Amino acid sequence: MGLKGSSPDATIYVIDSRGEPTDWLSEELRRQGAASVEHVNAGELRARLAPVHYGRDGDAALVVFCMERMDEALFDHCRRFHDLIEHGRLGIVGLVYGPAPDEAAWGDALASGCIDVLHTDGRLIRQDLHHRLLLAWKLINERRLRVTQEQHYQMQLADRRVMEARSHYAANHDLVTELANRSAFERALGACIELGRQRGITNALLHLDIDRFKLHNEVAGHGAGDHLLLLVANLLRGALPPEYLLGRLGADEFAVLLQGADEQEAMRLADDLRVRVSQIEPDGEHIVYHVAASCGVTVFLPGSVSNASQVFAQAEQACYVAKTRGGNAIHRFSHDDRALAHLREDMHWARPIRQALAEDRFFLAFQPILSVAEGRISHYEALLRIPTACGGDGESARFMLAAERLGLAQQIDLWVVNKALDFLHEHPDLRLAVNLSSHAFQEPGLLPLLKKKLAATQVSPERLTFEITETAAIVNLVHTRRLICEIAALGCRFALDDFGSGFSSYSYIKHFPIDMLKIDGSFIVGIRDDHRDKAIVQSMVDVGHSLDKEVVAEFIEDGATFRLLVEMGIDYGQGYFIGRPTLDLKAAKDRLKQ
Amino acid sequence: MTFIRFDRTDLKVDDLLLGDVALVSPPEVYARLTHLLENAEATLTAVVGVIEHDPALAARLLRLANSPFFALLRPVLNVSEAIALIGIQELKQLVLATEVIRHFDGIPANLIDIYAFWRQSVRCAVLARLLADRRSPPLDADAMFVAALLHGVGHLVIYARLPELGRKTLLEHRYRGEPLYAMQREFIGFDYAQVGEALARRWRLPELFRCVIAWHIHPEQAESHGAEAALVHLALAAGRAPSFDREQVRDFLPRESRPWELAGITHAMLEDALSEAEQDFLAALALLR
Repeated sequence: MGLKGSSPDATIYVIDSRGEPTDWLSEELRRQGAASVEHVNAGELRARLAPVHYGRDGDAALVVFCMERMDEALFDHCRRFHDLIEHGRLGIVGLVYGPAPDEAAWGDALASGCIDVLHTDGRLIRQDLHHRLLLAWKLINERRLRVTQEQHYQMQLADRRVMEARSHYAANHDLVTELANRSAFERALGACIELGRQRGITNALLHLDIDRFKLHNEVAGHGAGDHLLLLVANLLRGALPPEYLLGRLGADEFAVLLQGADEQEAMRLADDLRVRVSQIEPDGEHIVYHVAASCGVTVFLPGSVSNASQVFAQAEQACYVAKTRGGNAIHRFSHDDRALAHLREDMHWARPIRQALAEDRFFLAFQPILSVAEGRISHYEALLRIPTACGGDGESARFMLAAERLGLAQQIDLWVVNKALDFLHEHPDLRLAVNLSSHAFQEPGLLPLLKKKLAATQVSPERLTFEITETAAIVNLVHTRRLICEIAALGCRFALDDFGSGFSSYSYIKHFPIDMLKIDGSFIVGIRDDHRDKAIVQSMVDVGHSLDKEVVAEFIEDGATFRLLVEMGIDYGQGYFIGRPTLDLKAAKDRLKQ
Repeated sequence: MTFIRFDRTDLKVDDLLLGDVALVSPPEVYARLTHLLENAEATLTAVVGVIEHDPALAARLLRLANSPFFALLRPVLNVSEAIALIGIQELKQLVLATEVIRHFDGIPANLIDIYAFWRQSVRCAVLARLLADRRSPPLDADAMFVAALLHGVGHLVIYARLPELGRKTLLEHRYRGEPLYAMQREFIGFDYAQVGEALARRWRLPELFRCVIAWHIHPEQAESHGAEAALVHLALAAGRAPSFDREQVRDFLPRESRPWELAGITHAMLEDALSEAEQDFLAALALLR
């Protein structure tokens, strides 16, 4: 049995403090089974052993330190090789050529890191010297394994803690801007609300949104969006006192939680942030357009709000109002804000409208229009409806305003044009009048769609009439006029809707290629009892005729009114007396034939 | 008022070091030299052997030894000549500097510009060396050079182990105008000096280096080597100026008198040091090449 059994490379090093040759020891150890014994001095030993590396295993070595009697040199060596001993890479066994050291000396030696102290006084020790060294060797190896194992666990634990800290960080931050993300911000806001309630502190929240962010992102190309976000984030970082929490809630939305701020402070800061963002200079590479932001402010008194989402919603709504005012603006939330009444209506409609568009669930109702000269139904007005299942009650007037504010009107207009031409294609004997939103003639896609659809369906253009309102006509007058003229040139017809409800209708008749005037229904409803209405309608009919326009009267609800209007010279009549809007065109036509 | 906070990690300094064996392992050649030189009987041959075992390192050391930085009277051709002319302890320190720079090569370039980081450290180191010579009594200039060079090594551990938090603290520092160490304390829970000190302990760096790394931010709190820490504090501040021009440097110097007194450095000494700094700086860049 030898040391080789435990470790193939194990060498027993012998250091002799007396500087005398100790060949007898080597011989004795070899005789007892040691594989390799070498005499070295301390310096040589250092050079033979690899340094201790945390987390790395290494070979172990055993040193027999020979001395005449218990010697300070033993402690000295233990100190010098302390690092190796500690890591179980080296064991020092003292060997005293003489009588056994006393208990105290033996204890000191062990305390200094020595693994054992043997002595030669007595045959027994001499005989089992190698066995005693083997025991020491086992101790060293155990110590080494334990240290290695401990370090291994320590490393795993430390690494796990670092990984956990990183994932915790990632879960709470937006990694583009390194700001708090929505969920972290929401938690902080919740805590702030609670704290405000307990201690009677007023707090405020700013919701800052980059105007036309999508445009920046699309125009300047990949990465430009992130660049702009980081730029704005850093700008906000620099502008805020450290105690105000800054977060990025979503795409281009930032939020600032102002603990303990009153309205004045919140508004001042909001405007300061707005100004700073508007001062970002386009760099021509990442930022092509002028940058601006809108900021919504809400100040919440202790106990005035119950949760974070309520505060978020208030600030977001205020920001939305600032945006509808053209952006680069700030707005403070208030419960009795009239701008917010629209907003709530819009919020109510946003989902149903998007859903109806996405699932193609809008539909048209048709109301007949009677030609007085021909004595029969000459065409129908197509009225847009949204299914009640979508949450609405159908009437287009109610959701079209919301759709316009939400920026969805143009998509709806295109849907209407598309659908109307499909109907005209299916019913070759039919003519339709359609209503488009006030933004329809801003939509660059309208004319191409119309041309394409007319070509595809082979519908004759004069069978389609567009009813436009004065308000639609005055938006971007030059552009609208050009587009209307182009559509008219295709052969489509135009009716000026709600004629008389505006102030300057007559001048439009001159400037637009209008074929028909539709007298505003409010003049018709009471025409039999109100001589002023009657006079106005008569004048409108006369003016229309003198300008070569046909005149339509709507809201005709009874026979007497109809007869009166026919006497006054209208060309067409529309209203419940003539026919209610219907979904089933075929049934309606059949009924009318009777 | 209590402000809502949720950012700070609950990490300890040792977590950063212990979890990464490669990072916490001391620079190889430096560790072997230290191990070897711990015994007085170490032979020159053994020392040379350890250095030449890493030919790239040896070449870099020779290039540095022959640079105007040491202004030796004759060219040095091999490692044993370098030891003879520069000194074995000095050479060991240069080995440390060279190896530490190489040690952190893997920091992602999008996080920090590692070359710029070391350039900045070299600026500080060059000034520390010049100031050490001008002081009375003088300090060990070569040791001060390396101590100053390594003052910010803790930053690199943070970037290597916590890249996201490293980026956050950098952004907060740059755009809020707060000191970086303060941002590290705020968001990580400890600063680069604490990390650097722990690393110095793990690497068994000399006490001087450990103290300079640990206390250069607040030298007045130093348990020992306060003068050296204060000197590096000044060198670091002066090194932040865009050039060594004394007018430009002036705006970056600490206003309070405490670090000056502690370091035993006067404004006149600093201005004198600045006049040689540019030349030394260009020579010391050999370390980075």
